[in-house]
Amino acid sequence: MIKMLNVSKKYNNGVIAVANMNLNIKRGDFVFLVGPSGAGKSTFIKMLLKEENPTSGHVVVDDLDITKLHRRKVPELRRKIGVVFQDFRLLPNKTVYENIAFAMEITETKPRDIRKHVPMVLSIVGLADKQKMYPDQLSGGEQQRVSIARAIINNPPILIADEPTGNLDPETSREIMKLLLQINRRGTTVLMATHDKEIVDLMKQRVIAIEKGRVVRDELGGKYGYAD
Amino acid sequence: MRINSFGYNIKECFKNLWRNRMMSVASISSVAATLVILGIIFVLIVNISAMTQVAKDQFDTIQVYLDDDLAIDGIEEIGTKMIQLQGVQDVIFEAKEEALEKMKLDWDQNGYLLDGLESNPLPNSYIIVLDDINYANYIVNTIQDYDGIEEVKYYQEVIENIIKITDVIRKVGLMIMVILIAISTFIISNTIKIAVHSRRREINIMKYVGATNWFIRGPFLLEGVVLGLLGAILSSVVIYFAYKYSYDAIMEQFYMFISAYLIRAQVIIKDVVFLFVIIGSGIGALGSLASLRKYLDV
Ligand SMILES: Nc1ncnc2c1ncn2[C@@H]1O[C@H](COP(=O)(O)OP(=O)(O)OP(=O)(O)O)[C@@H](O)[C@H]1O
Ligand SMILES: [Mg+2]
Repeated sequence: MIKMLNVSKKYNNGVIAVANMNLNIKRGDFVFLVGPSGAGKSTFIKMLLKEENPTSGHVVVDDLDITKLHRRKVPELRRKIGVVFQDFRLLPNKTVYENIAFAMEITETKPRDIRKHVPMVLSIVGLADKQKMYPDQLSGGEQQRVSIARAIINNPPILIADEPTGNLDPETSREIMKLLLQINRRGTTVLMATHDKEIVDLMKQRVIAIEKGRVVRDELGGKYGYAD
Repeated sequence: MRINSFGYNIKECFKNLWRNRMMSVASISSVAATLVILGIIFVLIVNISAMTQVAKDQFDTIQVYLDDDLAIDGIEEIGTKMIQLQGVQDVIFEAKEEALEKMKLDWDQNGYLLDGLESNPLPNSYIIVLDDINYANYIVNTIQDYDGIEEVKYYQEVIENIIKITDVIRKVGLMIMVILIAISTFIISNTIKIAVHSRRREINIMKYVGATNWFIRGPFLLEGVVLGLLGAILSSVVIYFAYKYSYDAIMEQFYMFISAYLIRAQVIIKDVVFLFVIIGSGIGALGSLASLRKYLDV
């Protein structure tokens, strides 16, 4: 599903964020991306979304080499990847329902399908009774559920989460992880960058550790492995 | 709850314009000011062109005055030579007696003054009606060399001056237009930039969910075009009333003289509105596209 072939990324300021990285993430995998701050996790994710381009090497997403992907094709790529961020990124002036429906309108889905799918996804993330509320009326965990709902509404094969539990307490974090695991069980490939030791150790999934832009560890059922 | 409908977009658009009303008013006024000046130039050019056309039609004759001592044979000979020249449509002879009669009529009540003359001071003359005004110079030069010609009169300078003035107005007008359009495009682009900036979160999210660039541009483009169109409406109203007022004033002052060549307000306003709508929405679209370039580049 995701392949990195000799990928390097050097920013304009000279920082080498990713150095000669080789990775293969298969369909249906659940992968933790760990490593110290500044290791290059977010850069890696940005290259998958084509927000940044690699300086050399090839990035393959869903059997498509996106390294030379035309600008016009980028939206198509992004529709294959649901994204969740630490800061939720919800629209404050739209209700829960509208925030999720928004992602479907953008992909020009028929109104009938929108009306059918939004309640379905809301019940998956356990917010069926909160659809009329605004983001500032929700707890952090609930907001993150909305943003997960939005990420999966178009049924993307890949779900990427960059520190999704970074702003949540341990209890809420565990619930979010349950939800991500549930989504993964339905066949979605999940890639999650995190600093959350407790969660990584608890979930016993594949762990890829990055340091200074290089993969230093890649094990199934792995541990977080850092002290922080 | 459908968000992506046209009605919804229009509503959102006006809501956003209202939220930024200071900038919106500035944008609309700048477009309107641009279009008003543009309209004045347009109205001037159209009217002058119409007048030039009339003038060309009136001055498409050459007066050829003949020597008084030229015999009838000589007069006829000149007449036949002239009709054969290229660009000549017709040659009309006017005997000195006819010319005097005409003058008496022209002088009207004072015509009796001419009765006191001992001899007729007016010459025999030919009036050449031109087929094509471009041959005028050639014809004048040729005829001047004939024997028995006293004077050749042609209102060439009048026409050339009119053409020159029209040309200057056109060129200066075009230059002013380009500058004004650039200024209002810049002002609109700043207004839209503020709108884009206040909605950069939304744009960012749209990009992550895979919205195409045109999908993201849509609402901002609409805002720009609406600003341009509001400016166009405002300026159309101003031009209509200003023109109507000036037209009536000129009519009263000069009566039939110039006003016969002026184009009526009702006629000109159609072209003005059409022109304004096109240019106004063009400025709006251009302004918003210019301001969006930076934000869409991810
Ligand atoms: N846009 C940018 N321009 C220049 N350098 C950048 C840019 N983005 C990131 N970097 C640098 O690249 C390196 C990797 O950054 P990245 O954000 O990928 O780290 P990370 O692993 O996500 O860190 P964290 O765990 O703190 O989120 C850092 O040294 C960072 O300063
Ligand atoms: Mg990061």
